[in-house]
Amino acid sequence: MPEDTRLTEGDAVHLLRRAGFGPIKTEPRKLANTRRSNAVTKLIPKKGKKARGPSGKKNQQKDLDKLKAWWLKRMTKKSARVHEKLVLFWHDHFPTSFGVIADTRELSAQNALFREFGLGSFWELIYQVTRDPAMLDYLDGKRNTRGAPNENYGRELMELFTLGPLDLAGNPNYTQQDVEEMARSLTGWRVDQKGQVSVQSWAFDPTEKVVFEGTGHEMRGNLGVEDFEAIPFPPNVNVIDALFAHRDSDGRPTLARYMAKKMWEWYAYPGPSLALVDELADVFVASGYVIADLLYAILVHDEFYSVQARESTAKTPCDFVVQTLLTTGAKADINEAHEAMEEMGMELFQPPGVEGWQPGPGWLSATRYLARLRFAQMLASGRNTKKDGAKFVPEKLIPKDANSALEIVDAMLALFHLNAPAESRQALIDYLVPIDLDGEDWIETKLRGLFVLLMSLPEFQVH
Amino acid sequence: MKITRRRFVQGSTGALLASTHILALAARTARAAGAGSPILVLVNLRGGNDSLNTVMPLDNVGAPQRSTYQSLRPSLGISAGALAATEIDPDPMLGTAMALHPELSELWTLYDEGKLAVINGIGLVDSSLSHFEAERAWYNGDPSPLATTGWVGRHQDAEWGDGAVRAISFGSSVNQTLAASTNHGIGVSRLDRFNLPDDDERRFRDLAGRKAAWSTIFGEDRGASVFGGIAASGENLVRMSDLLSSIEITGWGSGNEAENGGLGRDLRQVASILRHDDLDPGNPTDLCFFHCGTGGFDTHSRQGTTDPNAGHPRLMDRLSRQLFAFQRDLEGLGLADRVVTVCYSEFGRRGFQNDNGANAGTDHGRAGVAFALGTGIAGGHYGTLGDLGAINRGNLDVSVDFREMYAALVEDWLGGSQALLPGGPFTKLPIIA
Repeated sequence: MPEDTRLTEGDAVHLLRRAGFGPIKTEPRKLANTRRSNAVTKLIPKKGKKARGPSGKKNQQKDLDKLKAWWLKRMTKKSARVHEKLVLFWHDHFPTSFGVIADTRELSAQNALFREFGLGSFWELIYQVTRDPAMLDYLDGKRNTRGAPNENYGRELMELFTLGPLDLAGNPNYTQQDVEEMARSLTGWRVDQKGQVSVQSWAFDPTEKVVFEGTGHEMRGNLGVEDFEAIPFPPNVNVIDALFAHRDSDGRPTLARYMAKKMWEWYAYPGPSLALVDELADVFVASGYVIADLLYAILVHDEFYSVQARESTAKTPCDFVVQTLLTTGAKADINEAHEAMEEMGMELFQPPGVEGWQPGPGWLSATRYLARLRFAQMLASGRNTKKDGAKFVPEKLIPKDANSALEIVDAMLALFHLNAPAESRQALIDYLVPIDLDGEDWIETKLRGLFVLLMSLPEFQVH
Repeated sequence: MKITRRRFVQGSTGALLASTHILALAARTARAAGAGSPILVLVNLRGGNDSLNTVMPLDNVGAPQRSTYQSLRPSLGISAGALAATEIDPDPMLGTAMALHPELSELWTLYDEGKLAVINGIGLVDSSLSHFEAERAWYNGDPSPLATTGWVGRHQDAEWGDGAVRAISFGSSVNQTLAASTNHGIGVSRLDRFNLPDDDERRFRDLAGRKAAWSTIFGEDRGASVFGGIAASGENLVRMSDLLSSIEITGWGSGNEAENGGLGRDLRQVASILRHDDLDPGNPTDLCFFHCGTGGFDTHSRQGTTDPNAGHPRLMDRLSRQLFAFQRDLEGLGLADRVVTVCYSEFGRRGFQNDNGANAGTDHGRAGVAFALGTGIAGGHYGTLGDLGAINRGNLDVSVDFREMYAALVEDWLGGSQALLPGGPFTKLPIIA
């Protein structure tokens, strides 16, 4: 069984980078020789947590900054890393933007929702997101009434959150009529002044709706999600169940395939084979759509440890920043870190649109790459001259027995768990010579500068 | 038929327009001889601009367009009285009198000067009303989900294929329109922040040393791996940072100078780059393709009508002022004949509004409107709104395949071949003068 395979040190680095935000100190060495099953079981939290960031006042930028700072800090916590990586996945999957809804209380609550429900049943997660005040605002669910249906949430629920517009064979999963019927089934949601969510009888469309008409998974009747007493509709008329019942043109469960592929692409690499998607989708279905089980199946899979998985995916700005902090032990000015992340293209709670952040090589456009160099410079220059400022002491990281430029470079490449190709490694060595281990100027320019170069290596942008 | 002011102006200034046209032709001949490439600026209105509140019917000539408009949009409709000052030529197919949104008054002035083509009913003939499918088709110039490069990227590959950077995408990431096999575009947010970082403390500055290291690091051959692509991006960054960050972007009387962010700033940066290349031909950027984007057009709710502080009118107002300032900048710099600016959106919106109160908005639709701007443009009204009474599920029919506009831009403006547009050849929309 692949899950019985023992991790190499390199496997452990990879696992810790992807499942969380990178290894801390000697973790990979300690994890080496552990069975995948044991290591992964330990990493995945047993159940959701109710931890919630500061809510602040409604629409203040400074409250948003506090919420962002709280979250980034949590990502660096050893015990929370893996959970927070999954919360970030859900924030990307079900995006909501402060720029649109301007409500930190709702964003903080939504963030907590992902933390509480993001590991369990995907059905429950969809249900909770559907009745989440931030989402009801962001995609107009609370403005979707029987007199005036609004298609925004109904469309994205199918297109982005559960099915995709096309199945893996390229055939449409639904029609414009389905979007309209889905929107009508989702009418009636209101949020009162206390933030309580309910379906209101005056706003809900109680007439017959038909979704996926004429297919084997057609659902017909007075479809909805939850009644006026906040009790979920029974499965035969609950439109969330219609999404789970959907079968694609191969007769396969569309939602399971879609989510298996999407989660694989977040944790492993883009464009998995159909066989791999189906293998994971089968696990997801068999588990009763338990997200933690799908995550486990991904993280113990042979393909997860393949060269393709290690060398195909650009780090997100969040991965880049948090990994750098964990690896160097540097302290960053948290607001500057968030500003840098924004320049890198990823401001938390401000996804660019309902499709979330665009993964892939786009993270390394010239401007975004430049923002990574800026962050590296900022971090490496940290001399703690002001309160709460950045602090980085490079000489602490150099092993005592490293006395030559070559030894220092190799020790630092090992610290970052990096393999630099020959010319680049030589460029790092050349940058340091002549070395002057006791010279303040050399330490302050060349040694700090070395870290800027390390963080700028193309190899460090990928994980 | 009413005599609009535009027709009157055209009659009285025909000689002037004709001379502009000759200048444009001369400019193109010069380009063919290698004196600089034609410039294309693309402006993407993200989210699906509501074309039916961008260009509106004023009467019932040809079809009951005005009456239908009013019934589709009981509270989102704009009254004919508010549109008197922005009337353009009638719908080319139906003859219905039409007008631009009142907040597009500056664009109307450019229309009046014969520099603006309004292309109504443009879009993807088959579409699922998804943002992402529609965007992908527009970016790639190809509705196929399998397309991997953008239409401007393929044009560059076909014309040069030399790996040089000739395109900038504003806003940090590179828009898919510029995705290429060899001639990749670069993403730039702000030219004045495109310099490589150095240590803040004067004593410890060492940028020269790191630059030397970066040249080796980014220049090392990493083959076709993901690392190779990233290294290429780093190489472009190091190569272009000095040049781009040295470009003067203020102090030359730009109409967009006061714009702190967004499209106005991006257009000012375009003008600055073109001005730099014009003034300093010995050290040119050679950039000739620019992609800008501006968001907020996904007006599912709270769309507004004419109040300039409301959602859609505010977008119209800013767009109009920014494009106008850009055009005037180019004219003032003597560069206008080299530049065509095209504004597009992935789709228009639903014919009928989705609510009646203050929340009223419009859902995703099909056909939309595009603008092409420049002295090299044959100004006028193209396409058609189509019979509003016969719309399918509330969605405006597409009368102009988006690739008909691209074919005209590729062949008649850029001097390339529309063979890069799969599914063609397409009838070229005659928007280039």
